[in-house]
Amino acid sequence: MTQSLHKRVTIVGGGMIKFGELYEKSLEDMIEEAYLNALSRVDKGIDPKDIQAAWYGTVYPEMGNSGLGLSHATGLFDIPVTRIENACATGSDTFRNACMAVAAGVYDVALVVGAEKMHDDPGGLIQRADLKRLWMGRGVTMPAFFGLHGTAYMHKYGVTREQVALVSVKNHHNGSLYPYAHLRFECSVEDVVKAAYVSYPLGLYDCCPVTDGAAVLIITNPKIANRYTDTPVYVLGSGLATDSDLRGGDLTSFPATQFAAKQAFEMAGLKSSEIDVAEIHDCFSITELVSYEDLGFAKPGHGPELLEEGIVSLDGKMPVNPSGGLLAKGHPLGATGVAQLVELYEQLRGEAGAVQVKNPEIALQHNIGIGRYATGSVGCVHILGR
Amino acid sequence: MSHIAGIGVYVPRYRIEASEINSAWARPGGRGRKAVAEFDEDALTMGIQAAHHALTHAGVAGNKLDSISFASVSSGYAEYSLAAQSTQVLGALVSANVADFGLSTRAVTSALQAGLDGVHSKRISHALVIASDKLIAQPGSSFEPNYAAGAGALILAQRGFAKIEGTAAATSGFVGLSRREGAFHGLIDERFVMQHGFLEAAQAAVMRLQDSVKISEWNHAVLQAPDERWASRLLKNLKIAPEKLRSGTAQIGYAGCATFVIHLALAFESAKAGEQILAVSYGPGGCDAVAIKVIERPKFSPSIKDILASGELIKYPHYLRISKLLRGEP
Amino acid sequence: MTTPHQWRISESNAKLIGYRCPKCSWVSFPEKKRACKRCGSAPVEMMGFVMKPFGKIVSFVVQHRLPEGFETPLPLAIIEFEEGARAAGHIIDCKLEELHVGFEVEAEYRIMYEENGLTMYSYKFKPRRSH
Ligand SMILES: [Zn+2]
Repeated sequence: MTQSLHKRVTIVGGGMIKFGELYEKSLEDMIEEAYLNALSRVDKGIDPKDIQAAWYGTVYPEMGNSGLGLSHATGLFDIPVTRIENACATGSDTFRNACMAVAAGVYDVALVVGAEKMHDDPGGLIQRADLKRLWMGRGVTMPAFFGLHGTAYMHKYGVTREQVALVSVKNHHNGSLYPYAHLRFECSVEDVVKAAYVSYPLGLYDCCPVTDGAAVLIITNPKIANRYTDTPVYVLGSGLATDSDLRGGDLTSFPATQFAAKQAFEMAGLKSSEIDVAEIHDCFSITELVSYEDLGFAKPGHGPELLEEGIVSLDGKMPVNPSGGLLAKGHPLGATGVAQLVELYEQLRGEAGAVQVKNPEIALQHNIGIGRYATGSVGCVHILGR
Repeated sequence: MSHIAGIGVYVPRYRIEASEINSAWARPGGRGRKAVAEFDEDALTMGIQAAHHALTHAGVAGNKLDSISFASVSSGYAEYSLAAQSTQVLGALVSANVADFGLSTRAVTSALQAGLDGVHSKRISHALVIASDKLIAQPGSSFEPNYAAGAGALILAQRGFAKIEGTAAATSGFVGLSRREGAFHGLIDERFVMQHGFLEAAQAAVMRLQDSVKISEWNHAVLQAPDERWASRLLKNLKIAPEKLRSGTAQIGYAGCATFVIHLALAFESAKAGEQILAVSYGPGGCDAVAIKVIERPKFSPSIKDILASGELIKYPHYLRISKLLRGEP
Repeated sequence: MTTPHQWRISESNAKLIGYRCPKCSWVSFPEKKRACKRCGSAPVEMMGFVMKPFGKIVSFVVQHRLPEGFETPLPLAIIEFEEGARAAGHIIDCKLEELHVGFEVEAEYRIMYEENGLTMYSYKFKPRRSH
């Protein structure tokens, strides 16, 4: 008999660092800072000795970056530390794995760390586009993978670049208000559509920046959550799936997201209409737009209406990416999913400051990963509640 | 005797005008244009296209080929088999003979001769001869406006639309050109080479064909040689009317081994049944001459004339970039 | 010299061989699979066949930012072959304005990249002209 994660894990603390081009900070420096922030923000305090196990999500480098990195950064030795990598969905899957261990009753208190040092790699991600995989996507970079979905989506539904640009405009506005965001400026639809192409149909402002960052969550068995806080946040649902464009379909959606969302909503016993606030994967403007539909917030082809009608704006009915999303906050791969969850933890507790959404009760987090199999994606969805 | 059962031509998409090249070097004028290969094309890829066209033209499947020969002076390798590489791509059987011919543009007629011998002796039924070159001349050199890229392929068989009436060779020992691997293509002293390296050998080879075809009986002449002016000199010396020359040099330039097959295809396209084609191939050291009798004019779709006349004109910087010359390396 | 990886992919680089799943008829390309990626059936015996070099564009992008070894702008597409197999492929011999979803293309043998002193060849896709 399988058991769901529903309400069997609580978040009792979260912290992150200001994302950016952090040339002065090492990977370990960033993790340490986020860890200390998380510890200091536990309402009733926490002794590091309470932490029984830790999960560490990071993408670079692919090999040999063991759990030891987390231990060196935090001083947490002598306990199990597991490193997780699942491309850009690494942070979310790291959280998910830690949750499963806590829900299984193996540990009562666990640490989740997501971190990425992207600016130590002068070539950047583009250099890592797997050049030898002829038929599996030679030359398919991240912007290309999402651009392929953009072309197909815009073609099928007659959606314009101006409509897609509304995602960037919204998220940069939110990011300008969010203290942890990497990019803090506003931009117009004209700025977005007139910017140089990175991978047609995506221009510079349709793309997230290259960002260093780290984020940390402390999770517990709900039975002991009150040792740390009187207002924990519950994990209501969780889902993860993979897909490939080579299996079929018209590329106007991300089936992995659809399956992950189905799992998470079923586990939570909720419908998409019950979500109050969401952090949705917006590595590129088009990704957020298509994801509205994959997550059930809009019918296929109707995603742009959520933007045009202001539903997903900061003051809308269901704000999406109040943190500025990946487009403004930045996308340090392993840190991204954890940072989305940190943000929603704060939103649900009413601690989000300038980007606080009005009294949210249910929040959704969504994260997509690609990696070297650049012809499909990993989709991960979590639903949190007070 | 052996026959030609199929012929295929591949000319890359781009053209550059000689005057465009000359103007980059502050020189006036310039006649004609040449074909330019894309950055991701080389002797092998162009040869494969021509071979596909030849197979289609002959109505022969790749797995029916008994032998595949590849002639090129621009493979870029000192050791590597373009013929072997072609076998798998064309769907030939693993048992097919393969041979690579190079080191001289005469390689095209050497490959042809080998194929003809195999078919003539009935050792093999279908031979594929691929001739393909991507010649890169030094920027600014006098060869640059003419040295081009292209490919041609022939299917030799027991039956076909044209019959090989005879072949002849003349090798003088005059070298004329040597080029180290990796160096730019281009001769050093054209007029000297023309007189003593080319004309003497070419005339001797053609005279040897007189047993099969008299000088006065040629209806069409094609020549594979680096300079179009060599052709007029040869025809003049042999007293063959200049209008019998079939050449696409003005449209696509000179593409080494490939030029032999491309010009031959042009001759076929304009020939009538029963006409005789003189085909001469030059390479350092001498010439080969081949007598070909047209049994039936083959059809081409698109026409060879259209293939040569088509193409997209590019400017000199574009040419340098796709020829990988813009970085200043050969 | 040929590397083990180059050798493993040499046949699929040279020929367009698809492998049809007997359970769901999906065509695997270029790998011969014993576990179907489409329906998940395992084990399955997929039969190989040489595909026609024709297909259409499911979607495309034009790459402007790529590392050394690529010429940009580079049109790149998900191609669906007539037999149903899919592949990510480079588009050649094409004006960028011509590109559209559903565009018919045909495969052409081209240079893909240089590695270990060897030129690696396989197929790119150009506007379909033959039938
Ligand atoms: Zn199947």
